[in-house]
Amino acid sequence: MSTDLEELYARYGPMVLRRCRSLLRNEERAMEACQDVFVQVVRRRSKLNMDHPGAFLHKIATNVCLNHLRSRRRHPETQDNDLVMRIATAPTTENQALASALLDRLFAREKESTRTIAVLHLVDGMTLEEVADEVGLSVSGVRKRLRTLRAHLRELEGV
Amino acid sequence: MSHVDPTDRTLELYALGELPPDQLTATRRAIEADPDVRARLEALEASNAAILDRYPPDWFARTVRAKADVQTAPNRAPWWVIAPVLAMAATGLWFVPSAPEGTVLPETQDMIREKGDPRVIVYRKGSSDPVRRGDEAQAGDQLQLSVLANGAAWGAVLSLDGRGTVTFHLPERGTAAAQLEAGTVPLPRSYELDDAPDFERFFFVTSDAPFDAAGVASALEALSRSGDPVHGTPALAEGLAVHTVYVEKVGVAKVSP
Repeated sequence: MSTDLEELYARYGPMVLRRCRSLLRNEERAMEACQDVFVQVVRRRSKLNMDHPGAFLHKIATNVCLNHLRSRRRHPETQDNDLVMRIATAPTTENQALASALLDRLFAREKESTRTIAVLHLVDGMTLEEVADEVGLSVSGVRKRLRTLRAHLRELEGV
Repeated sequence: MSHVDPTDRTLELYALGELPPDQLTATRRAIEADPDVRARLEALEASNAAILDRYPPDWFARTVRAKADVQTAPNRAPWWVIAPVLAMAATGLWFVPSAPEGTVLPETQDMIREKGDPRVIVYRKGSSDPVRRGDEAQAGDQLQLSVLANGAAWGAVLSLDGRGTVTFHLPERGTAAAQLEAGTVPLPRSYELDDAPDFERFFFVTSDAPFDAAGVASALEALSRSGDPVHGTPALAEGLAVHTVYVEKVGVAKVSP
């Protein structure tokens, strides 16, 4: 896979931007988040997952958008995407790492954050089995992660 | 034969040719069987073309490289110089920031293009994201203010808090408006929020001619006595323009109705 930035963007940029649009519901912020995704790629190109860059960039985009939402907290435009905002700001038992540390985890292929797992299941509509396959956990492991958010997200009742 | 409706993510990876083999068969079946799924796939392809047309690869790559260069420049400039560069690169504005003498700035692009009105940009210490109107803040937060003149020649920065106190941030001394430089310029000193309740609102007042900002302070004091100090417009002298950003104070007892 070419690491030339223009080619990388031409191939994956539209997918990343669509992902950011769906989570942030604002064109300006979605483009800003899309740029941040590729900034991470430029910074960490030696650690980029070359096997399945599409899925990897999709995950990075999710994390970047969740970080953006958390940093913005309440803002009128985000009311339309209340579920994603509630996921982004819901407390978890995980360390409240800074944005760059969370992305470091992705590039180091450590476990997905609980919030990202919640987005995959509740927003993207992936089944627990699909989420488990995607993030490398067992189904029970995914359920366990989601239970930490259950008190704050009624959508997780029954998980 | 029934099929499972593929998620957006699945279709994206299918369109990229990167769908895992175990999902490929089911997705192909859905595409063949369901015209709505085919329409979604066609919409993706149309969207690709539209996005690349609106945000061309050369522009995007240039923007990203500028942001990445700034973020990776080691100890070249304090956070309050880097942060405005990130913000401006993200918005597509390009500039050459000024900095105290001796500060080594990362080599940025030679594309100098400013657009828009004068504006004040507020950063919370430790964050590269500018504060947006209505963001929360609390006593003790350290803020760094920067101004982008966008062609204005003279300017002053004042703030108004929930107690009605007006504070000068620019000029540092006296009330005569400062001569503005091109580009985004951070103010010399950071500002620590006190325990004033409700809000802190920052005003960047600009003009093409010198002016005495004492009149601006009076207008802000009058605004604090009006019904809407957070969203209201101060009554400024003719020829003065204003851009404002405010933070909502949390953790302090509210006193306003």
